[in-house]
Amino acid sequence: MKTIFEKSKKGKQGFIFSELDVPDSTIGSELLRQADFVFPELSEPEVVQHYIALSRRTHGLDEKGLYPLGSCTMKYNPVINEKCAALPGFLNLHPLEHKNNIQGALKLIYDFEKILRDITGFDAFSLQPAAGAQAEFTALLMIKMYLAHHGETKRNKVLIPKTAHGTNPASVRLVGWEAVEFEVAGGIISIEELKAALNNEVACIMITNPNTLGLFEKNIVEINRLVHEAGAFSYLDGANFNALIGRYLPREQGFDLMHLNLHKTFSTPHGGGGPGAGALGVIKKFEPFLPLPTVRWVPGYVPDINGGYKMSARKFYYLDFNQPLSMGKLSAFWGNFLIIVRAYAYMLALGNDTYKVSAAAIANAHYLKDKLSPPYEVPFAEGFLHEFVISCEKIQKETGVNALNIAKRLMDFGFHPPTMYFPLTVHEALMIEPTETASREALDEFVTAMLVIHEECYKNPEIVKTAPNNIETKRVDEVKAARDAKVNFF
Amino acid sequence: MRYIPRWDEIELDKIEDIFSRAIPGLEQTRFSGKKPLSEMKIKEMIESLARDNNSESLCFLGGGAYDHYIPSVVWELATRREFLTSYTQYQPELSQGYLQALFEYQSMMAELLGMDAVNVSMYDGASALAEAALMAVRIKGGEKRRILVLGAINPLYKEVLNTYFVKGAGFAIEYLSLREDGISDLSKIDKLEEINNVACVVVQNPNFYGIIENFNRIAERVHAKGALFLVSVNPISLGLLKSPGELGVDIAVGELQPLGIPLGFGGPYVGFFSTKKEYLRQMPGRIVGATIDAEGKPAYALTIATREQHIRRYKATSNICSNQALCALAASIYLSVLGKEGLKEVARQCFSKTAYFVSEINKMKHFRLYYKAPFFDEVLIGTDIKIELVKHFLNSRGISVIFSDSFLGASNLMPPQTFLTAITEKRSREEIDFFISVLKYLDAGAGKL
Repeated sequence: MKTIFEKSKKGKQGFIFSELDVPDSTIGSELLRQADFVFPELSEPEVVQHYIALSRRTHGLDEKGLYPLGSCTMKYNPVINEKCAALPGFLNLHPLEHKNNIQGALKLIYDFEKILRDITGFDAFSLQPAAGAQAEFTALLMIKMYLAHHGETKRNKVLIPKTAHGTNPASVRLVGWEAVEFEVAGGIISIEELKAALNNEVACIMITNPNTLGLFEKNIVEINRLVHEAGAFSYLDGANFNALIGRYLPREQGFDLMHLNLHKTFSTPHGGGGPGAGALGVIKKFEPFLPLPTVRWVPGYVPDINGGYKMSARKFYYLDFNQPLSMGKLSAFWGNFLIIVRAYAYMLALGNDTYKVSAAAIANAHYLKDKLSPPYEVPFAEGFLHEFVISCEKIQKETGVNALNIAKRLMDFGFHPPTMYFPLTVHEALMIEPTETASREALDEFVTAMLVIHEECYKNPEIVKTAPNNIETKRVDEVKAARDAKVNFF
Repeated sequence: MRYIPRWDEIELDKIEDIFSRAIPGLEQTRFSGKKPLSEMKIKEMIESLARDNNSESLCFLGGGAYDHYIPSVVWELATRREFLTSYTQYQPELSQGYLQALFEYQSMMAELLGMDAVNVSMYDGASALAEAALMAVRIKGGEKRRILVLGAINPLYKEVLNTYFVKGAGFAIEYLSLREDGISDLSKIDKLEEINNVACVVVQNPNFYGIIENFNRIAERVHAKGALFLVSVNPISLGLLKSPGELGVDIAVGELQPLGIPLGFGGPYVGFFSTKKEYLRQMPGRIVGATIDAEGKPAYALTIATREQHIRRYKATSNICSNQALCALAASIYLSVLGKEGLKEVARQCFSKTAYFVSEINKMKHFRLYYKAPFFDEVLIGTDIKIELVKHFLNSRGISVIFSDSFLGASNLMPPQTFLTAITEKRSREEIDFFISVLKYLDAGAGKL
């Protein structure tokens, strides 16, 4: 498809501004732009047609209602959430608007934090992080500052099991600490490995629970006890919280801090990579170290009959910057607010039905696993929850077809592939998470596709190896993309 | 439960059994929220919260977020559910549309900025600035773990820079004081030796006070001292003002919010990040590259991923994973529909309206342009009337501007007895005149107050 630059024709305009209603002024020429720039020049209908065409070449979640990316929780994004986030009272609200004018927005943040406290057991939340990775960085920096505040400056290592997301070690680096990755045993953290790794240089452990194999860390209470005994803290990467929501409180598993991805568990859209939002929950002792600002309230005042003011039952919300121990600010303003609106609308829809989400997410994962294995191999089939990992190692050895090929072949059946080659501990991994919002029809159709592909691997491996064959774009040469590094049309 | 299609066929006993076997020894605590609400009820509740805000005030606020007009097509297209609900484009065969849109975004921004390479996006302008400073240290390597901030940068950006660069990475920031006229003291560049190990010099343009600084031929002087030149820039100003490329900038970052992103109480916004070709592999974040498919047709893919966390883990250039791609997409639709002439026009109108406002201020006795320097669409106004009184008058007439306490806890750069105000193309002459009339009323009555 032609790029928008190739469709452009000089002099066309897609938008006009109202005529300038004040005198035209000029800026000193030494400050003015001399360099020309090439921009698309198109009429409005041409712009609309261009982006509609691009959207049709993008595989959205609604196409099948099943977008089985493991650890990404691609669940349905309710339309009402979008409508709520588009209300003019939120959309047109400037972040530095006077405090009297932002009461609704602050109340929404405050109320949503309360829901998150109740649903995780943590004492305090911050909705400042723009994403899970930023929440990880925030938590690590908070721990660093907490330790420094208590005179402990020697601890500079963070333990990370090999099954962890790549953001965990990358976040460690951002606070200048060292990441120590350790082996897991039988898919979960081994108490022996953990004990060997723990010492008085360890500041923290980062755990994803259930982990990226879909397994709940059975020994989590003991793990966290040992971590605390060694004087370190335990951080929960809540990427997989969809497996537990409404039923289990991470706080009760002994964690000190955790993040939630609102774009995973709380149904806000992934947007093709973002924006999402990361919510950070902590136990009491970390509260003073949370990012700035936090939302608090004082009793409000209303005019009384004598011309003065009297206290009212109405709460007056404000952004509190008065936290001398805070780890600081993360973004210019107050986080991804419009994402929080969506997540709040979602929780209003779920209410005390929330426990059904985790149950159905697990039911769907087990439904798929039971129908796919056999013939597919699932190395950690015991006790997985909301996602599971297929290993295509045997297929690869016997037919030469690898996990990537199977993933690409799924596209010919209209499905987005599962997460590939992750976690790193399983060879030829395909990690599948259907979520609770997949329909029976979608699950069955996916099973059929996977079973047909399995047969093809043995009978007609070429068709799998060369996939996708039936969609517009064939296998994309990613090696060439990296080698050429052509990142700009001009 | 309306979002769970298969609820009725789920055997709950079986699921409870899976829970108790997978999670031995931990009790369940059911979330005891309110009853699930209907869509109508949700709408009613959230509309009532939205009404509790007053977004109707006349917005003369800036400080990093600007009230520009957003053409109707922008979000109508950006929220097409194919875009909205899709995941990161790790499977290029299914994401050609979105990848092409992002490739076009990178290209348009590169043109506008005069830079070679632009990434898919950062969280916001402030985090983009922080990551740019970290990148400068990576490029310069070794002992160069200090940056020099020359001009007046947004105090909120300063806070974020401090979080990442000082508290996180343990590096140092040197802030040089401004000249008395609000402008960077550029003479300091020639004395960089006195400040050891500077990896880059950081400026904001227009600066926090709205002043357009003259950075012509500064890059050469910065480079001569072995440092990189880094600028945080308002993209809408580039329809009129010198581009970072023309100024020889090495890394240009900023906030895309002015280009079609709603105010949204501060987010989601989106940071842009750009650099020269030679530093491409040091960039944080995702990048789209052009390539071909198996049939030789043009195609796109996320590329140079060996910089990123999912491949490089600890050694990645950043921990960023989720970004703000949808906002970058919206910005590119904004740029597409405006076109070159539209972008020049919006910049011209912002400037002309601000100039008109200033010309009226200049007629007053008790209000004045605080720094006598070239401005773009934001100005600092000083007054000798009690600032609390000015604030009260503007608030009670529904006019919003920035006073020093608007920045709450952030380190305060606002001189006493001033307010900061931005005038975009969206403010009509009537609205500006109303603002002026309130100030004139104060101006005329000042003697009696």
